[in-house]
Amino acid sequence: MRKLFRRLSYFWNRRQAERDLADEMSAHREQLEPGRATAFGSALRLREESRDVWGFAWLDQLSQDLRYGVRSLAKSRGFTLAATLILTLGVGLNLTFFQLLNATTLQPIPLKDLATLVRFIHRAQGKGGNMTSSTVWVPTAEYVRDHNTILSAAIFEQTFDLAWGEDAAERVRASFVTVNWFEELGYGAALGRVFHATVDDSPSAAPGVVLSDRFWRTHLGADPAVVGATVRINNRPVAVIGVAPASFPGMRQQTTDLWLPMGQGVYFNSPVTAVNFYARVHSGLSAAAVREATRAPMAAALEQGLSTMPDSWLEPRFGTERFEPPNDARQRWSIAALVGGLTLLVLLVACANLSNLLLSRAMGRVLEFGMRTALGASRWRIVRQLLTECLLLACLGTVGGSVVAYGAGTWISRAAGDPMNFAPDWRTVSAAAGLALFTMFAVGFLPALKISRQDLTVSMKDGGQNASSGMDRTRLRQMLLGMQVAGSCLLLVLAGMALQSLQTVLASGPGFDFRRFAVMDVSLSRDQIEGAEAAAFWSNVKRNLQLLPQTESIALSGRAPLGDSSEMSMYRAAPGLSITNERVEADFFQAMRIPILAGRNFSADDAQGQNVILSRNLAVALFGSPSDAIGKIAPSRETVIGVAGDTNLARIIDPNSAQMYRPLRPEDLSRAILLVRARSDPSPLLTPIRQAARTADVRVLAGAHLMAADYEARLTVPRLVSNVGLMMALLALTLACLGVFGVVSYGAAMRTKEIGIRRALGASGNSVVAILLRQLIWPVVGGVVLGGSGAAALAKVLAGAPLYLTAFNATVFGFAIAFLAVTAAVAALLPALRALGRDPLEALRYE
Amino acid sequence: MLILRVLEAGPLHGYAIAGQIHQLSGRVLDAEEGSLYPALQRMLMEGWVTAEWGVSDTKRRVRFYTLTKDGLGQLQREVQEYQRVTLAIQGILGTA
Repeated sequence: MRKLFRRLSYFWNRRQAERDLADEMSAHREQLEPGRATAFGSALRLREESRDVWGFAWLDQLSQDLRYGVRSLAKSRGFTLAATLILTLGVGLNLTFFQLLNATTLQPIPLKDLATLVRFIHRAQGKGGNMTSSTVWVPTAEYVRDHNTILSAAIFEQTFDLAWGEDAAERVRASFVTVNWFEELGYGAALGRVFHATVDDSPSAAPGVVLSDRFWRTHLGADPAVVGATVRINNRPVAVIGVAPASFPGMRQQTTDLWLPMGQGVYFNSPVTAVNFYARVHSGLSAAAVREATRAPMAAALEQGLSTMPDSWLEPRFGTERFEPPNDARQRWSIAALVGGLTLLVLLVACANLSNLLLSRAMGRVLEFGMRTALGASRWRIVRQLLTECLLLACLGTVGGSVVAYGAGTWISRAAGDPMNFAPDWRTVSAAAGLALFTMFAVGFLPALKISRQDLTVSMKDGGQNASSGMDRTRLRQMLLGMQVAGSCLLLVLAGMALQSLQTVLASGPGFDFRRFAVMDVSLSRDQIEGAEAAAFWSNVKRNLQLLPQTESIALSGRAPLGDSSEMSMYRAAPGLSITNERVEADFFQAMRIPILAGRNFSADDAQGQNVILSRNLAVALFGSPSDAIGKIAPSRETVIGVAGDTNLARIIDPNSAQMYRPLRPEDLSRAILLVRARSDPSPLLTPIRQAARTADVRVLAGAHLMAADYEARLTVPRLVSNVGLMMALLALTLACLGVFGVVSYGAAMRTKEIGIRRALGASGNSVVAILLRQLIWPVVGGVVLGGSGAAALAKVLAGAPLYLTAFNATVFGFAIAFLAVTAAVAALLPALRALGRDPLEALRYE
Repeated sequence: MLILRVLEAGPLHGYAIAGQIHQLSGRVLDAEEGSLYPALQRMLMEGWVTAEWGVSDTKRRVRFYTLTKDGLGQLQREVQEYQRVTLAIQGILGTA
């Protein structure tokens, strides 16, 4: 340690040290007797040796290498540009992936004391039946909160869509939360204040709302004077008491616009009934301990009539595990590993390319290095020179890669609608530098060693051509090229699959004409409109809307097709099909243009019965054919009365989606929504729909949106996957083409003489091109085989959730390979033809 | 080792060190005197000696080198090692 310190101090005072040494030596020499003047030795050499001892000879040499490297890179701009570009793209892509992974998986959720923060899932298993519910009924949750030994705090949340503004035309996502919400999660207010137990917890407290930062910016112009102002939510006045910080992550994937105290639910016509149950457990408790400790209070709650589910418990999911079951985490990791593998593949292709490029360049510089060796440069010094140039390129690549990653990250986070921060911080920049350095040295070392092993003085004699033609025969170059082709082939096939899957979805659509529909969002149960009153409300609304000339047909449904909530089941008798449970009225099939293939539609008598209509694929899976299904008993122990055409009402990218339709019961009317089919464009219907609800019942605040908007929202992820996949594939293809181009043009340059002689002896142009292209055959064929089989193996994995890339077929495969072959051929022919165009005599004159 | 041994007696400047070695060795060891300086620089780096400017007997501005505690330890180690090797060599020569 002290040694290092001394060395550093010498480094700082090196001029002084040099002077001291020189003075000292000259003093010594002056004292020597005249006869022994030569006994001292060469002062210059000795000073050099001393400098070595101080340890900055290498520094001198490094700065020399750097200066020389900058000059030589500046001289060959084409090479520098190409190498920087390759490095930038390779590093940028990997960095983008790293950032995404970091934001979604690696970084802990930024909440206070994650280790003691849990989310409870309500589960039951026993005679009463099995159940998993993400929400807990409020009386149950409150009982557990007050009677347990493990919790230090309970945090409840329920999310509603509420109407916003004077005209109540807009829906906003509001979370009703317990007043300890912000405090327990570790956040204060950015502006104003958050909820306080003493102020906001009583039902008589003045209503107050805390806005999210995003909402404050988009809807209130980021006005700091907003605190204290009165806004209207669900047509009720409420004071803005604060704005949450921009960094507050909330608890869910979707964004919350504003928070209201749970006690105010009734005031806003949204009584909180079932909540997401978060809690602080005492530290050091295991998941099993927490689970077992919840059984007793749950049983007691059941006894007191505060719960309906026997044999139930609360399953804790810890904040440190992102409130997820281990399976979800495993799935996310496997996707991450897959995508990470692909991005690494691109980097590998880039590496192979760079290595090729460096090798070519080094060969071209045989003369230069021969000269330096002749002047006394050691082999190590030459290697170091080459590596220094790699260092410079790595610096350029770091800068470029960081910029690319920032741009791509911002684009992705915007496209995904998930605000993530991708501003480059020290972590990403150092990751970029690490990647670039690693890449450069991994690819730069081999050419450096190779060139230094040559007998450079011999090679000089021949202008570099002989020595390098020996190296050219090595398989290395071809292997590198094969790797590039394999990588880009794999990525092309995968991108083709993503594209084709998306096209299939886009072309077939969800099986009904979603563009014609407007959806009325309303929750009558919130306004306590139920039973006969709800039925009256709907018939009133229907009558009013039917009068409009644009309306074609109207139907009630339990939920909006393509909307965000859906109830799924799977049956052992129909493996692979994910079945959504729909509650619809008879008009639904006509309005949606879903044909009844066999049996009959619902009638008024079915409302109380045990009758279901199956979608065709489900009927086929269960009973063999649609007509065979009629009258049979479905696995849900209901009678099949009809079979409807296939549609995809929930997850449009999932080809295995099936439906089970049940009739709307009277009690479902207060939770139903209305689908309105327009004769043409449904947009002009939105305002009349809102008005119709208001006319029918003055208490109701309805929203209206286009079904096309839901459809677009569902397509966000497949679009993103196919775009990103295509981008990566094109990137890899570009790199591989550069590689092909480089190999052929380099081969042509090295064989100028040979080609000249052949031409002079009368060889045809075709045969010369054939010679040049022959070296490509094995790498390209091998690469395609390798990449193709890799893609085939991956296709199996990707066919399932969550990407559903099903389009692994000959068309995609053939198209990808044809595309690859054509671009590779162009990349190969260009330099080959150029070599041909050269005058053979010109080429030979150099001899 | 030789330089450290010479410096054990007290601070000396470069010319004097060379002279001492020259004399003590009975003029057998008569190496290039200048190579003393890189060696001294190395010892400075290792922290075995420290240097200070002063004025010599001949009224010249010279640098005096002083042995440090680390240097003394190093000398002892080297002497021991040398004796061990010498004994070994003598042993081999004796039996041969």
